[in-house]
Amino acid sequence: MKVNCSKDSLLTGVNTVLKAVSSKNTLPVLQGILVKAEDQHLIFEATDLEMGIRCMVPAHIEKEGVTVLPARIFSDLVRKLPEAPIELELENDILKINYYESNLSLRGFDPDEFPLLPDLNGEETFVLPVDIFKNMIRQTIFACSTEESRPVFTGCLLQIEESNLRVIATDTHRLAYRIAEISNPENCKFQGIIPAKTLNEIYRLLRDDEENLTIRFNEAQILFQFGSVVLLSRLIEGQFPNYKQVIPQSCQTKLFLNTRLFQDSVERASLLARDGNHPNIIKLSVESERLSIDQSSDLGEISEIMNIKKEGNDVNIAFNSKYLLDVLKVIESEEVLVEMSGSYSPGVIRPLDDPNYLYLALPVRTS
Amino acid sequence: MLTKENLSLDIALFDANSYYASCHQAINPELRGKPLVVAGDPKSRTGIILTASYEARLYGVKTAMPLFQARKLCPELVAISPDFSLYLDLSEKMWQIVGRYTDDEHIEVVSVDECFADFRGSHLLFGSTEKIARNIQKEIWEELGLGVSVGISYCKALAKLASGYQRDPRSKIKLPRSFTVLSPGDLPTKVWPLRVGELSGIGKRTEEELAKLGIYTIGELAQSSPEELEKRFGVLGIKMHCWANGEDERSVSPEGQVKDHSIGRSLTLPHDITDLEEAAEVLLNLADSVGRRVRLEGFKAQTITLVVKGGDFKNRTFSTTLFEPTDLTDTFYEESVRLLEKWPKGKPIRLLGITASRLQKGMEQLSLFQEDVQEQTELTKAVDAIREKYGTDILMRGTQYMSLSQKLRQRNTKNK
Repeated sequence: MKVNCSKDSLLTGVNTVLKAVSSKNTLPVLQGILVKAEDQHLIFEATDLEMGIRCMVPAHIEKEGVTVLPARIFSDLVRKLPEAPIELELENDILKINYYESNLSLRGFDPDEFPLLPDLNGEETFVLPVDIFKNMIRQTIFACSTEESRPVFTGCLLQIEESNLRVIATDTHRLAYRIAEISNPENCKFQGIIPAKTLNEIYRLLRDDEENLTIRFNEAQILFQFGSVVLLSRLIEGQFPNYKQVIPQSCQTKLFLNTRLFQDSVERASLLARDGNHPNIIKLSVESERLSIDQSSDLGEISEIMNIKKEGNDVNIAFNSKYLLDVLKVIESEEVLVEMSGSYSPGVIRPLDDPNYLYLALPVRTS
Repeated sequence: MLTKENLSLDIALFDANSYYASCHQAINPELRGKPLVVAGDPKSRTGIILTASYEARLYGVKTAMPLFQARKLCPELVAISPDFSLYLDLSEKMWQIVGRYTDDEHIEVVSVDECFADFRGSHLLFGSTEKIARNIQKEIWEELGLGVSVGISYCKALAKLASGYQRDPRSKIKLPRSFTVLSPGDLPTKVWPLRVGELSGIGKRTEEELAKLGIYTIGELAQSSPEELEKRFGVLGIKMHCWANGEDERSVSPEGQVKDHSIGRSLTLPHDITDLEEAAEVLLNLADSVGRRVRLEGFKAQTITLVVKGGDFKNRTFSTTLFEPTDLTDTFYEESVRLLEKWPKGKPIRLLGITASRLQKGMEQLSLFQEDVQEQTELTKAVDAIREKYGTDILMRGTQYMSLSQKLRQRNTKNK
């Protein structure tokens, strides 16, 4: 292998795939990044066997070749390289990196041991609009669980059905639901749980100027292709619970709130809700046209009052403030609608001007 | 701040003497006055002593001593196996007697054999704290046959110290059914000459650390610089300094224990085991017992810790924090089995223990999609209710029953 390229190309390649490098796998080759010179491109690949990323950058290839380099040191080196023309040269298992009159060399792993990233060629394909999908990830992913013992909750359910695209996430304490209308002339159907880690990476790597994101999938895996990046991920096995069943169809109380003012109030109150055993629990009470959040702890007391528009019954309810703040941060609408039915039923929060998003937070029972 | 008002001697600590052993003596008069120990498995040579009666202590028998060693010290030693439901039952009865003299809000049960009470509102009805505590001590002795030592003071740290104050002058063994009052004036004469380890909250390790600083007695601790102590021991340093000076503002309350409180059970195995299935069986029994206790006290636990002592006597602990606090035996069992996977395969296990901590009650985060948990909760409640009525052994899980029947068979063949 002999290649001429810029520092930027190397950096783009390395940074794109770095998150897929396995951090704890015992197989040493998985702690590496595959670098392949082929057809006027440098191809970078990394995988932890759950997720794999491939990225292609332009380069001048004098001689094709392939190696696997230890990810940590290689990425650190690339970051520190000067902004100069760079030459890569592979001899036996040693990669020499030449710049100006200097050079360094790095010992690689055997590329034959590196697992192949399947292309899922021939599987069903669908094209998603990037801006919509990115926003769907942002508005749902935070509701995923991080608890490995219940895997189905550690990812988002993605559903393509007729002209509807849905993303749903829940950790059982709250649930985020986003639906979008898409064109689906060939009536593609998909349903699968995508690991939150995968979606995080896609969100990070998707540039706003990219228009289309192609997905290809089978029973066990899903592949995302955009720009010069291909990301393959396993789907989480298991049955996502019936989310439709838990979304309330009616309510006893409706509050119309200014999103930012409500967020600020909750934030202030939660600062004083630091009781050791029940951190972050705040109590909301709605009486006629007033919403008050009263909180006291060893630190001090706060009494937040908001004048609001209300329909229906008065209510007292307690929430984990994090579950409210997480959603208020991703709602852009000026006003939110909060629907409740007594102290022990889920509270539903939606942007007033957007029927396509809904969030459910389960209250805390206090006695 | 300490003012005259809260320096009145309202706080008492009741500490049952040699509790497990005393319980057996209480229900079986033949055992009274005899050197008695409760041991992990009295038939096994390597059983570990859980409690020794006062009579056995006089021979030098101590808690955690292997049985064979104790028998050398005291050949006529009587050993019996533990009966935890008996201990729980008598414990509850003891604290009910305390409850005759003050309301529940002023009783803090520290453990099965130890309880604080604050009698500040009881004087008009029942007289001084001293008089009340003497009545309680007498009633527990007469009605239940259990000896308790009483410590009275104006704060918890000193009440605790007082309860263990009276020692046999020669053997230094704590005297049973002792009664000690420590008033603020007693601090320099009675408290400060004691070794720092006498303060509750100061363990062996801390005592050694303090010795390195030249601090051996409570008085030396009281006079040392709190800043220095804080640097070395953090918050505990400040607390120690306060307690040594007789300053302790912790109030007696049922919730007082909640923060640092945990509920745990452990078992020293009759022989080292390597078989994971056998270990899982032990864990099921422990989980069952921890689960019952957690439910009895109305808690849910967020953290589960597994303790494993190896054949080399080294302890290792593994813990997990749950997303959803639980009081279910099944969850304690499943999580502890999962934690046991971290123990090297094939390495001998000498002791297993499960501890539930970050206990909470009063507030509960509601959840979606938890039908299975609800079902489990219902079932567990039903099992608890039946056991409450007919005894622990009336209902067992399949594997528990299997192991019990195996034990019985073994015993029968031995007897033949």
